[in-house]
Amino acid sequence: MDFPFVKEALSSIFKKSSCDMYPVRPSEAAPNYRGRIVFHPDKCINCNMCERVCSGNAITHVSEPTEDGERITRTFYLGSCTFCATCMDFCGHGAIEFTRDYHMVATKEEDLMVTGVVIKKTPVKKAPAAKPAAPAAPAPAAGAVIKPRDDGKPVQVPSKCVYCTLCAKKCPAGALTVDRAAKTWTLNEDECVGCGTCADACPKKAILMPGDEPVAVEAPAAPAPAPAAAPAAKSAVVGREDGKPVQDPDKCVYCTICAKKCPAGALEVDRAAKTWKLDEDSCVACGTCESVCPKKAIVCGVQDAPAAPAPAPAPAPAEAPKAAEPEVIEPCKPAEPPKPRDDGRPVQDPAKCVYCTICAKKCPAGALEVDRAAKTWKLDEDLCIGCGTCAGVCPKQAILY
Amino acid sequence: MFKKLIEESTAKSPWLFHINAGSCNGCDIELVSVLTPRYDAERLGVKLSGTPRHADIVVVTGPVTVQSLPRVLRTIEQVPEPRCIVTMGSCPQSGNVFRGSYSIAGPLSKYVHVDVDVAGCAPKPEAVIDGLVKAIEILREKRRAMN
Repeated sequence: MDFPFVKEALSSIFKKSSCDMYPVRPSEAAPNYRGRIVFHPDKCINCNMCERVCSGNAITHVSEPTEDGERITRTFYLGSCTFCATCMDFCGHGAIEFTRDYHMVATKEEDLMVTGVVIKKTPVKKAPAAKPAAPAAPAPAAGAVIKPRDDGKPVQVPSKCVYCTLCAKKCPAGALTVDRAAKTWTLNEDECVGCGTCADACPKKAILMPGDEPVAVEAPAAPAPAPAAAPAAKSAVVGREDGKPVQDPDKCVYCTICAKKCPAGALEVDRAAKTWKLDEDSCVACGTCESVCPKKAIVCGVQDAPAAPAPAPAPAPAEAPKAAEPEVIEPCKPAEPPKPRDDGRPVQDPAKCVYCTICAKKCPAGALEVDRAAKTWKLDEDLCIGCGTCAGVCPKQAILY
Repeated sequence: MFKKLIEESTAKSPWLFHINAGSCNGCDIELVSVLTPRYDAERLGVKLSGTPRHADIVVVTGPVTVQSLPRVLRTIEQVPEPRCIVTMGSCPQSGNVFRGSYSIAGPLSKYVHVDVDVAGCAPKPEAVIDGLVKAIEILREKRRAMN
């Protein structure tokens, strides 16, 4: 008789049990174990990426409109979850967290629901009166120097500003209020996203952004009348009081530069028919047409307006490259009409893009790099999650998605 | 007297019957590991039974496919009352990634009353033990209610 395991059996009697004794002795899951989901609604930006990538359709949301936005209740049903953590990976804001808690035993379905409420507020358009008054007040002190702010928000240079309201119209956040009649320029600090669109849009360079040279405010009135007199004398036409342009048919060569440069698209110039038409409703009275006109055939505003100094000192060579510009711009527009990509990633429309950097700021994955100065728009293919947030926030619809 | 003896002994040893209703085998492996010496669910009196007629707890894994549905129901009917139905993993609870497929008849709760859900894909053996402990409690209450 042979008992091969007797020795093993006898020695094992005195060994410790190999049992984990689980309910008696608590056991912890391994590091990086993916158990119960924790949702952080405060971090959620409601891009719905998690829902789109969820293979088990475990993530749902219900949104109900409220007075100032939306109330979104997002629910994770653990009973349909594969715990693949794709939602966590795709959530650029870390709103979804997988814990090591594996005790997911339920007698009711509700026990397996993880919910969170996201409040989405629609931006308030109207600026409170008290707040903008404060930053506006100290600005126009003669002899002082207007410096760009450190926080990335715009500063107005009152001596240059013509209150054309273009900046307010272009502001994607609706943070600027400009009154042409009252000559006020107010910034709503809370709404401002510091995108710099206003500075780019300003035809008078009257808005300073960080990195700009400080401007000395010495005698804001002095330079205005002197050069203004010159074009006034040359010009046969009388400027309009509302600051909108008037054409001088004698000087106009119908080169169409003014129409091309008009930020509002309010001008229609036909070279062949020799017509110059202004769309009164679209015109923002910014004075761009006046400053680009190589023949000084456009007069904007009455002559005492500070609009005059800009075109007056501009020497002839400065206009020469401007005249050449349309030839450069024109061929590139039809040459590369951007098409949406098949892989769900965004495409920039350079013709529309104002490089305001909002898309880069809002990108949950940090995949966009936009340089306002260099006018570059770069997409990091590896980081892009194709959520479409950039296209949604673009004030110019310059992103195809 | 014998009846009481039998009742007491069955209460302490809730036998287990496992139905695979189209599972990917992940949950099945975890369930088997629960019965191994390391997790040793047999401490709780649980024993894997070979026939539904001896079982008290039915553990269902898999999303309940159209093919398996009549067999699952027929098997569950053979389990004597009081019985406790435990779903293991996400599949029998919702269909999981197979939800909406032409071949899925689930979730199981559409057809029978499910007592305990153990979530996970697949659940950790510890979670299964948690579920079994819960099932044993429910079973005890059901038995008390019957008497």
